[in-house]
Amino acid sequence: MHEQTQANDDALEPGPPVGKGPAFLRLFVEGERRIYAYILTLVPNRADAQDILQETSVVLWEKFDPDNPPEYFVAWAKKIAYHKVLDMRKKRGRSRVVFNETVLEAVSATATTMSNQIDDRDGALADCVEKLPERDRHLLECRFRKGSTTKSTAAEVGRSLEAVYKALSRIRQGLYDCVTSTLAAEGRA
Amino acid sequence: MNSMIDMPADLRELLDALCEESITDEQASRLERMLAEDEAARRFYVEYMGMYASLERYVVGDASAEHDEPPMAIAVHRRADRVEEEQAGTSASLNTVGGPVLARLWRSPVARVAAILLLATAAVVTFVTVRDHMAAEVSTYDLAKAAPQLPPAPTALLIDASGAEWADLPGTDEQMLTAGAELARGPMHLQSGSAQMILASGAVVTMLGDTEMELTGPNRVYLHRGRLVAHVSERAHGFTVDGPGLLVVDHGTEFGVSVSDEGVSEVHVFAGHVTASLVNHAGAVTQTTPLDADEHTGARLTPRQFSVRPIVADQRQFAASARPLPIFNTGRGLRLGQPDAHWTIEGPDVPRRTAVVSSNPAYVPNDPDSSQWLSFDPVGAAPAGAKYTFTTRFDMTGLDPATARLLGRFSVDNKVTAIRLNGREVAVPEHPWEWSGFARFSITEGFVPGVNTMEFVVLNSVLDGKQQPMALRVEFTGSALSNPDDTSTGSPSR
Repeated sequence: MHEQTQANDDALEPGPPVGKGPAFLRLFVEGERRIYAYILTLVPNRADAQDILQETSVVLWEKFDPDNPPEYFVAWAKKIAYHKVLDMRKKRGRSRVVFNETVLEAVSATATTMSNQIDDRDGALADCVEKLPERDRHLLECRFRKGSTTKSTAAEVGRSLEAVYKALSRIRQGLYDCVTSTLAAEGRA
Repeated sequence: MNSMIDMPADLRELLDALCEESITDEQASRLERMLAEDEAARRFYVEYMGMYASLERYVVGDASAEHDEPPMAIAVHRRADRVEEEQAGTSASLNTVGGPVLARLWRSPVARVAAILLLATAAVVTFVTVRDHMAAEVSTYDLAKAAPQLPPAPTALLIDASGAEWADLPGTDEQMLTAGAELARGPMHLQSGSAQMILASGAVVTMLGDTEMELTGPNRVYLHRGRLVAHVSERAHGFTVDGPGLLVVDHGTEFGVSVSDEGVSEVHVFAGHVTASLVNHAGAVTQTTPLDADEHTGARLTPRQFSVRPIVADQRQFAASARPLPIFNTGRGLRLGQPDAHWTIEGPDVPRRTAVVSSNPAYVPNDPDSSQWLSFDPVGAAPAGAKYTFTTRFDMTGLDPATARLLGRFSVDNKVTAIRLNGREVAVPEHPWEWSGFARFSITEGFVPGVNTMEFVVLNSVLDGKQQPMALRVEFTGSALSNPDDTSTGSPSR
């Protein structure tokens, strides 16, 4: 090894940063849902969005300084996630649903300005999910199960592919409207 | 505030296609144009996708808790007492991931986030991440404050696919399914031949064609139909095979699973013990049967008839299965400065002696659960221009050398000039004068019965003429078929 500086040679034993883990974890756990929603909005594919979330989380950890934490952790995380999305776009080109940079920028800006509304909607969504009929809830559980597709869900619940596709569409639309009406009733719409 | 009635029908159709992952290129272009040109459409889109992101997590979070699975997601609104219940429920299966330290950490919700963060960047052979720091710190954190939501990142490495014929699957490039390929979560259809992979947990899985299987986690697969054999090393205990109406959990063993086209499953235990369970359509376990290699060696499960019948394990049905090579990564499981009994160093200025775990802030960070840097001592300073030979030995007794495959990667300060297996030169991959990344190598021949010797020759920097740090870090994954003439075996590779 020859590129080492003298300072590095003097510090061959790296010491773990004190207190970094708890501070980081608290901020990350609190903000993770919003970070993931932002990423999925930019990269509307669950597997890709999860990959980017994971890559982002590692960069966040590496760059996080507990002595000088970012004032707005989620905003900072979104910036890093945005660059990860651009990186993925460069690597993958247009092999999946990947927006061009102009659209990415526009969607990102809209998502940022609507972040409070999205938070409100998320709070209302939990109650709306609770109100779902058991049959609809079961269908969603099957659809979101690991590795499942619309087709495998149809096979699992014994319904046609078209029927399941339409049912899932109807459930999402119903939830969307439930959230909207809940917030309207609370005067937050 | 928008409602669905206000949303253009065209956009609604595109969002449905997006959520069901059936969107065509033409539809994707149409969506892109719409989002570029129409602010109202963008606002609909952002609201809808935000809901979709949370919906997945609410639904999957609830489901995973019921199924006693590692947490794919847990809803943020969950109360602490419910999380407490989950801790007990998930700890057993989570013991499988990342060794005892992480197993302990898994028992807490926040620590799960930490561990998932570690898994998030998992390379196949090791997890080159922030694990060292995180593991030490999260254990002291107040764990009742929050719940995790990150999904894990399952990965595996294809060790051997010689003679394998793969079926076309959407999103899968069968040309890439060759030895050394890194596998992400997803389905695979092996039409004929066999293919062997090592999961991130260390479990070795051999698919035997015609088999449709899906990687669903770092220590978990779903067998749709066909046959597989699993060899589970100590650190991968808890390896799980799901199937139609089936759940098989390993408790340290070697076993085979088959699923017929009619959905009838068989579990054959060749060593150790497993539990085989019937699972109903909601994913809940309805009946569990313990199996072991000594007495209750197998079971046939027919979910449609809620039937579990004993059978005698038959290894012939799962011929051509493989075992991990008992070869040791550098420094695994040791502390800084500790000697590694599996490795020696020899050079012009030192007689052969045991290597010790070394460290340097410029290097890829040590990962005690997988591999660490080795040198003379923790500092590892050595004369410029000197060559050192790092040597390890492994015993292939009980294994067939002709079928052995070894994949590995190394990082070095400064340069590997030769790799030798039993004195025979192996191709050294191109690698820079660097120590912040890994170079991969593979070995498919030159193995011998009994003890094998593996050597790495390391050249220290020739610049400056001064003493410089010198170290090597190596990780292996490999396997060989059992030798039918020799039933004794060494310990699994680690």
